Amino acid sequence: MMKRTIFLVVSVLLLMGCKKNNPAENATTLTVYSYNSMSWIKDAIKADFESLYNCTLTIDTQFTDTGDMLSKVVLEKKDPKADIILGITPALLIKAKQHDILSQYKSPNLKNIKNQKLLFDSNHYTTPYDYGSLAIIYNPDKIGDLKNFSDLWKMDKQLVIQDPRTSSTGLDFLMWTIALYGDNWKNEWKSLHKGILATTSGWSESFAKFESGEAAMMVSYATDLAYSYHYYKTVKNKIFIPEEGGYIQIEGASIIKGAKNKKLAEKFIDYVLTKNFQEKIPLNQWMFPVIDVEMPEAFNYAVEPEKTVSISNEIINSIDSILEQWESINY
Amino acid sequence: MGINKLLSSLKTKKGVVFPLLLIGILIFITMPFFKDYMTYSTLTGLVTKKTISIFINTITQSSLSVFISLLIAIIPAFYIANRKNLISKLTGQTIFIPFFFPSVSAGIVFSLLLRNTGLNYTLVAIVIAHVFYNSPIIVKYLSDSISSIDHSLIESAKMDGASNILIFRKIIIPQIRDGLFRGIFLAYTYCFTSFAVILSVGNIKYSTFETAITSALTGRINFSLVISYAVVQFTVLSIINSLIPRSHEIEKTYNKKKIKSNIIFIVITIIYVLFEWGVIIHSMAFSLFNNSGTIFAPYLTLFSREFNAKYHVIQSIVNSLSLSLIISIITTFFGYALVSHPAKITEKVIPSFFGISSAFLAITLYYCNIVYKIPMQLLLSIGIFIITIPIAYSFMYDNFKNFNYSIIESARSDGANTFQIFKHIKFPLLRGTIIGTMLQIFTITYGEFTLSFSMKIQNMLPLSSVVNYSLGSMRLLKESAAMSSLNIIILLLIFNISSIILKDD
Repeated sequence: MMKRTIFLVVSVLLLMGCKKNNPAENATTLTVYSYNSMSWIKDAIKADFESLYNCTLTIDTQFTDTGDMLSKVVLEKKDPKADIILGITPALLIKAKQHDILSQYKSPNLKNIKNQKLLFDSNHYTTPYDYGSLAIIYNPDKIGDLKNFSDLWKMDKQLVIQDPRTSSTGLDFLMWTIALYGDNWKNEWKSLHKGILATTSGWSESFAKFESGEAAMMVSYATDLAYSYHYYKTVKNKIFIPEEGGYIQIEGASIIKGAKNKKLAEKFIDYVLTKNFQEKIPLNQWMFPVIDVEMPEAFNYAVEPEKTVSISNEIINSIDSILEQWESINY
Repeated sequence: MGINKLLSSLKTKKGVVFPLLLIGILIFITMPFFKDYMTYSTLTGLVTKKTISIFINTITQSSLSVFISLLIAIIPAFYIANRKNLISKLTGQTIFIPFFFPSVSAGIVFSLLLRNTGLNYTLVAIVIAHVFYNSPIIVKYLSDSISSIDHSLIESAKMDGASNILIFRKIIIPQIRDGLFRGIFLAYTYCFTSFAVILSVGNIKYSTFETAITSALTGRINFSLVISYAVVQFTVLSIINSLIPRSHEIEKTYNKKKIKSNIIFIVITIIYVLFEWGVIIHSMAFSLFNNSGTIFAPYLTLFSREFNAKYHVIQSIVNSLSLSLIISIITTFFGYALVSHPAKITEKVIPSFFGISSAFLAITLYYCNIVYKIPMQLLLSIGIFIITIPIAYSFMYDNFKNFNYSIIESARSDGANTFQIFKHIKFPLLRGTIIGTMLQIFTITYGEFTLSFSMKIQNMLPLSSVVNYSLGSMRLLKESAAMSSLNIIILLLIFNISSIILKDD
């Protein structure tokens, strides 16, 4: 019986091991990775892109966040399965560059971008496709009017934030505070500590706590009221962007180094800067498109801060050290 | 022939082959990841201030959770060991909770239940959720041990004038010790490797190694650090496991006596049952109505054509049932081989598999797919096999220890071969244990989440637990709760049908 067991297990392993399962083998297939909130692109643009370029577009949005997606792409470096990744932010671009997983491409459609400040990578490892301001959303029945960031510091366990180690929203919130406070950011976080109710692994978990009424405020986006108006025709919550300045999150599309279909991947990067892709962004991704398209009525409720702050490349390059310092404050 | 001698005689080369095969598989799947990502910083990562902090947090919350679980489990365990009624049946069936009630759902339910208490995101919240989740394991193991106490020894001791404390120390404890320690170790392991509960009701400062591994994977993309944490977790749990005393003494199966329970025992057991099943019922009740109050609407949505075209609910349930059946057969068969061929190496190595981090295993399996081109479906099956084999071994260990090996000796001397011995002696006598183990593995496989989710296998093989999670993350909370309830109903049905079939055992 023992011999039979060993034989069976080894045979199954060998037989199954011979089978290939590489979805990107087909020359006319383009594989796109993104995080799960981007799953709308399956319905919104897949058919259009396939008919335009006579190819098959495989879209994998199983990743919880861009960091989750990047870690898989880094593992696949020896034999890339994806051709394109969507969702790279400036902070995570550094990680991607460190692991040398991206390929450069300068799209001719970059000229369509309405504000050249959105081009956050001058080396063209990534191409911006949407942006939006981070904001604090809050329930006005529980929280009074807020003016500046230090008002948050006065709260007592009201705010839900996202873990910057596992969430790009959380990471950008951390960057926002660094942009505002510079070297003093650690002291400010120590003060903020008592105002934080919970630190969740991602935006969805934060929103679940906010929606259930457990938390009175959360770190989110300035387009949330547009979402609320569009689906519920009401805007019961409020948006707070401190008068010190807002922080813009920009997301980009990149071609994977060693992509099996580089030419088609380039076509896809060009495509994300066309009207066909960009006009789908407002009501699906709830962010602003990077080229001028007609905006839906709901976006009258979306806020674009008049004053913004940003971080230097030096800060972005020391992201590991910043995360370690953040951990030391929170552990 | 004494039982120890008999067991020693069975410790032949055969007994060594099975654990070595498992070690071989483990090395095969983890080696590429170790080879490519283990660096000098892996070693330094073992002893950083943060690693020590995670270690202290993990040990503290696990120890507290298990200690309180043990205190809470004693009376219900005593009750079900001595009573056969609806309360004892409901108490006994709580053992399904740690194995099939999704830990993600448990975390969400406790997060909601505790939201106005000020306890959320504290150590207390973690301990309460862990007690709910893991105390049934201690109840199960402890009640099994209490059931097998030989009361003739107690009566003899009483006649000789021994005090109750002396009887408890010298007669009862030695008889329940093995089962109790195994239950405690299993519960301790689940608390130690806790993930969803920590994320839902804990906070960063209560990170376990399992959550730290995920952070290192997704935030820092630091695979070297991932190895450090996985190694520490494995080492700590292996050390704890090695400290657990094991005896090869046969537990006698005669002279059992039912002890009458007093009213306090009954009340406490009922409170325990309400606590455990109340959480499940809360989750099920939430799923009955949609937002406009239509009864069963979330269930109807789950089975609608449009919904399935997008979320593959039915396909995922079929896939999970099929995968669970295959894995449960293979794992039980292998577990049977392990306990049938006892060896010291098996006793040391197999329980240490409990310490393997699921998040770490998932990433090494993912890497195997890249390096070896082994299909993900097969790798997932291997992963689930690795995490369930110590459970199968643990479930079968007691019953096989009590098995009367002299029957086999006699059959062998009469010329019976291994298959004939299995068919005519072992299977008829151990049918309940084998099928019971198979059902437990079936349930665990059905509810398995961390591996299948982390391996990103949903596009190739949609599985119930991952689809359920996806519904939750898409904020389809009613449908997600309905699917959790549906899974509970499916598994309870399977268990109860099996119980009817196995009634004679």
